[in-house]
Amino acid sequence: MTAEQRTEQWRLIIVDDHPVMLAGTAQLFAECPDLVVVGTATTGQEALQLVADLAPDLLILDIRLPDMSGVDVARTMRVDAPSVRILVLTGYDDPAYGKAFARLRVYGMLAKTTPGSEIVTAARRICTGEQLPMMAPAPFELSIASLTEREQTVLTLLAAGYRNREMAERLQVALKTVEFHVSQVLEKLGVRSRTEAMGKAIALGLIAPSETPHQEP
Amino acid sequence: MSGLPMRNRWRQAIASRRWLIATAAMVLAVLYGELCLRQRHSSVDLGVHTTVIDGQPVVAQVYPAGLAWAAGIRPGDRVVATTGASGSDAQVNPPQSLTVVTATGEPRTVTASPLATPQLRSRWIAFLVIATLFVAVGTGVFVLSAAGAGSTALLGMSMAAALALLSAIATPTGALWALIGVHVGMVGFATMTCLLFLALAFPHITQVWRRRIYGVCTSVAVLLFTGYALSVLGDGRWYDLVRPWLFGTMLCYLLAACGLSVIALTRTAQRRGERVALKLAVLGVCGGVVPFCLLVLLPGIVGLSLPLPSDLTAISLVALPISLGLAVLTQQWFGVERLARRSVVALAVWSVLLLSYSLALEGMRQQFPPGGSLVAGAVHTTTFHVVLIAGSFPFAQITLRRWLERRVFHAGDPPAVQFQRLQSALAQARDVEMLTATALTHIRAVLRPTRITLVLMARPGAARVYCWPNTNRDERPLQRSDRDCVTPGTWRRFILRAQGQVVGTLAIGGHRRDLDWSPEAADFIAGLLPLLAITLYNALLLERLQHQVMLLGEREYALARLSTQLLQTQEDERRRLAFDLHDDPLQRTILLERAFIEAPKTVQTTRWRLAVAEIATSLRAICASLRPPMLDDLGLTPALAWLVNDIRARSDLNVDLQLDAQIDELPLPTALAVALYRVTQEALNNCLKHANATHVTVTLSCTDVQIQLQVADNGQGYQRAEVPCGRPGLGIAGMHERLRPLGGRLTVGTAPAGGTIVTVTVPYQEMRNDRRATYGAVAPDHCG
Repeated sequence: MTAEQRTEQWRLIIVDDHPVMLAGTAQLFAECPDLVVVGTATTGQEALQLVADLAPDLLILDIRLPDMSGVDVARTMRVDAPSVRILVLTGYDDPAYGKAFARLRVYGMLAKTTPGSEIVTAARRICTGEQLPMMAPAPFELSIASLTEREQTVLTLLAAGYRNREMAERLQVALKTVEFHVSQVLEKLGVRSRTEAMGKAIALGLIAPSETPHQEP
Repeated sequence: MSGLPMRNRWRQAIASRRWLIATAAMVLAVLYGELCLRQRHSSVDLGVHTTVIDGQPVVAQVYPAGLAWAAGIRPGDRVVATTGASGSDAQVNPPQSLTVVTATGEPRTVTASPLATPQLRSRWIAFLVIATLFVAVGTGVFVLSAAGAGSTALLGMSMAAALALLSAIATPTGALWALIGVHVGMVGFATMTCLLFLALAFPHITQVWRRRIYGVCTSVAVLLFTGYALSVLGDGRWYDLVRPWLFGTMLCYLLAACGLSVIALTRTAQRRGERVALKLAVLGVCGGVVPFCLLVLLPGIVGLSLPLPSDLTAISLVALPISLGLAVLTQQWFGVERLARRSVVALAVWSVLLLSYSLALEGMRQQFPPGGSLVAGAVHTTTFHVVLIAGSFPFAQITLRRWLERRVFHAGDPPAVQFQRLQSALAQARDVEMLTATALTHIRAVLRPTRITLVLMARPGAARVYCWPNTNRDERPLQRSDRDCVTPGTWRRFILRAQGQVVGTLAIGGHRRDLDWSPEAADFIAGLLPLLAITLYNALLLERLQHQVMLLGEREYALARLSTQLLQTQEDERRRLAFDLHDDPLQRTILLERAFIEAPKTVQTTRWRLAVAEIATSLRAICASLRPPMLDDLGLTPALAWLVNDIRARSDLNVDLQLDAQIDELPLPTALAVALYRVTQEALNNCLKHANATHVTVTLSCTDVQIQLQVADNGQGYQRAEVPCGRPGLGIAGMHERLRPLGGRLTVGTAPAGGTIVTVTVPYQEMRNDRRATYGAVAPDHCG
């Protein structure tokens, strides 16, 4: 640990409206001497006030805040505090958010389910981001890799010719959930229909063309 | 009172054949007068019959009130001496003088006095004049007057008085029929006088109790006549008993008449004309009846000799017909006044015209001598003259007379013209107020009444009252009298009926100067009533309709507000629910998932991790379906993209999303974004459910002033009848409701290729000002 000690300490502010989540996230940085959490906020206004008062190096931001959206916070900070870098930590993994934050020059965007070590690493990378300005959020590139396990399962079933209802029965989940998965799959693959998704899945080698329906990969 | 008060008296008289009755009465009076005048030249009848009992001539019968009776001769008196006839042929040649000895031994003499004395001459001339006056007044008033009972009673009274007076001319001859005539006439006169005063002073009572009053009077008269007939048919002794009763009854009748007139006068009379009539009547009673009662009847009852000759007293009666005639006519003066006016004008016109025609004829006579011929002998000059006069004179005199009448009497425009003017004025009136004001003004101008009251049945159970001179509108509950057609006193009340319904009542007071209505005015009112009724009916209908339209409009507005509010509440609720789900359960699930990820990987934890991830996904799906978070965080276009992606995931539908690049530049109000999002969602859902389409294109474009959204599919097309569930267009109605507060328009049409096209246009310019109107306060994304 001492080898990794630096003379410089990065100052963090964490913003999340859910107290348990806030505490959990803060806990990640407790054992990192180079990343010091100087403040936490549960609302957008509070966050903006803290940023103005403490001038941190990094802001770890949630999208859903009770008074305003995380997008608005980022937009405001882009004008008021352009030097403060932002790492968005969100429950939404929709690519639309990635595009929007990329335009706002947010340095990174991670799903909340990301393991703590990865979050810490990402934060550290952003803090030392002189070498990596305008860093695009890695997890949201439109590729097969961005699919979760479940989404990959769904894509496989989809390619095998399953209807949504059949998938729901097979996976023992609600139809709405399956639809949500398919929607995410289509979005992440950047395709315009289920048929295209099927083609893309075959092209990516996720499933073999000869594979018969109703068979798990 | 007459049942048809507005009718013209003349026309009514002609129609009711009153003039026939009056003419018959006059002819009878003339014939009877002739009979009485001729009787003067016949011999004098002493009114006594003698018979011989035991060789002694005895008076057998005396005519009641005859000469002998007046001299005190009674049946049973012994005849002492007769002159001018022998006792045996007394029946053939009446005696000129008779001397009897009564039962008490007193001598009585009756002598046939000569009839050619100047005193008798003046007597019959006076009687003739008075009788003529009575007849003239009676028949004239009877024809002209509108008063039914009053004029009839006056005619009866006049004829009875004339009978008595004319008979009195013949009574010096002692003729029995003349004596009977006097008696009948006097009874009739008294009865009729009483009835007349009753009718004049208490018309209402007379109207109601007419049969009873007539019954009592007729009974009394029959009783008196029976007594008199008995005395005539018997030997005349009965008359001594009958006479006081007769005179007493007459006295009672006449005094009753006096009393009634005085009572009526002291009673508060509303109308000036009524008071005048009663004053005249009282004058007539004082001048005519009272002297007759005091000087003739009263002494007759108690048996005293008359202080003055009854002839002289009877002259005072002349005051009676004159005053009573005037009294009756004051209420009906108009006919006479108008007649006189028109007579004067007609006389002048005819004189002028006749003079002109004479001059013209004279000139023509010189030019075309009579007996000659014109136009090559085809036309005779005399025929030419006759045709010329006959053809031109009537037209000339009518035109000239009307013109002159209008000029001289300032008659104003004739009611027919006024009626036409009223018609056009009513046609131009906009509402009920204006209509009533117009109608009241015109009625005032034509009829010149004292008051007008118009009661309108504006609503069921409520009446609206318009009065002139007080024109203030007054609305009050409906009263019973509003619908009854009564004619109390001077008011004339008409019911306005249209389409079989009572619209209201129009009550018009009498003429300002107590004149009767002219026939033109009567025509005016007769034409006015249906016109006014139907116009007011329509106006009231329109008023009611407008009120209901207003109510409907208010209700529709309230409904629209309600639906807007409901939609907003629904939207708020969905948003809140989505946020709540996201804020706690989803966060905790995510934490749990992260914990499982960081935990040592075993089979068990992997399974649990997957289950927890599934829960998180499910929660996200629910949140997104309630309200996609990007709608609030990022704006309309990412939300639409998410929506389209969702549709793609749910179906095999090929959805094409074409977004105008400028849309992202626009600061769209949240309300507008949410509305467009929901409309698109609904349209796409419809497409999935009903269209049977394979391809849909969602196009969002914008200009400076409006945003256009189009959802076009290639399905079977929109057919309202084919929409299932029997609730056609409910989804479309919902879309309309969404767009209504934004002023947007939605059209659903069929594409040329056969699919359905839903087009939404929302004005954008107006939205700039109130961009934070509704549906939450989260600002949209407008990053550039």
